[in-house]
Amino acid sequence: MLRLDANLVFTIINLLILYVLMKKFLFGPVNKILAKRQEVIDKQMEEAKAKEEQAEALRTQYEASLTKAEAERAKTIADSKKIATQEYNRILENANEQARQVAMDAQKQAMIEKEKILKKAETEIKDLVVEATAKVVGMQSSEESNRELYNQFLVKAGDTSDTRNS
Amino acid sequence: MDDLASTLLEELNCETAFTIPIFGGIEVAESVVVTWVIMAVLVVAAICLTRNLKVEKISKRQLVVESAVTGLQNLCGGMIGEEGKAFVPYLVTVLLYIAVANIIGLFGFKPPTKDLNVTVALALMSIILIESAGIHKRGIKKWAKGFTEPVAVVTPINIMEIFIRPLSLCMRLFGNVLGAFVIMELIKLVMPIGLPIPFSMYFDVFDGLIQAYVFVFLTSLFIKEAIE
Repeated sequence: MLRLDANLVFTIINLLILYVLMKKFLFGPVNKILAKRQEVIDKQMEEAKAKEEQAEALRTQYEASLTKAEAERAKTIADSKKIATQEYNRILENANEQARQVAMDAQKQAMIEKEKILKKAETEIKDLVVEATAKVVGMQSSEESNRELYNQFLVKAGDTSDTRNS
Repeated sequence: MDDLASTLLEELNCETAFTIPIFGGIEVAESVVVTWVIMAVLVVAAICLTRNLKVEKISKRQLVVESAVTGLQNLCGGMIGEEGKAFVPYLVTVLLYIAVANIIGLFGFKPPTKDLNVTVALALMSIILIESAGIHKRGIKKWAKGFTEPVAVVTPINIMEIFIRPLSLCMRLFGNVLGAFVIMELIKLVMPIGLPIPFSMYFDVFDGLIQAYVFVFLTSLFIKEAIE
């Protein structure tokens, strides 16, 4: 029951052998497979993280381009508005100018017409005056004044006929 | 009564299994042979269980093996701490060995831990491991100086501890297993049918596993203390 002998040494040797064998056949393979799995998981996690980062970068990029596009759109609209306003003003000015021109032309025309009419009236009045005068003179005339008048009349009638012909 | 005593004594004897015929005959005890059996069982089980392990889509067998191994490693690793990671395989090996050795009585073998040679060997290995871990970690000067801490007066007690620790380790294990064995033999002699089952559950299985745990727990505690 209480014996201590060489079996102590045998047991120690046995235990050491068992330790080595267990390490080789139990802990070794199991820990290896666990480490491998950990590695795979780590790798996947890393990949997932990388993908996420990539997606985030893409998102930022898209957002930036979107903002840029928005700004461009706004700028284009503003430019178009400016150009349109300029065009509008130009057209308006042109129209005004034309209207003024037309009005001025019309005025000029009217003036000319008026002058024409006035001249015509004048001539006609002159004729009338001459005729009337002739009639009056015919009733009470002297030879001298007659001639004078006649001359005058000739001059004036010539003027009138000139005007009429031209 | 004499008959019972002699039967009991015979059961308690650590018989010599065979004798190696050199140096005037080296007697190989039964416990050593049973240890070989335990080693064979553990190694064969390990080889069978760890065949074609896979990273993905693991079988139930692999799941069980992985949980068991990581569980045992975490158990010992938790006791010894992060710094003593290198000792974990040894501690788990000893845990498995003592556990199997203690409950192998169920299969009709004499538990090797009933032989003082085995428990002394285990305790010797433990104390060598503890002190070498301390020396390796602190260097021999600091290790030697450690005996005078916390005050110089306790130095003799600290030195005595080198012998007391393995002695208590081996005697606790030996005494528990021997006591359980004696009680079980007595019960078997008195009433061989039915009655031994609940007692065997306690003395062979529960006590055996507890003693295995206690042995490893104390060893790892001492190692942790030594390397801190």
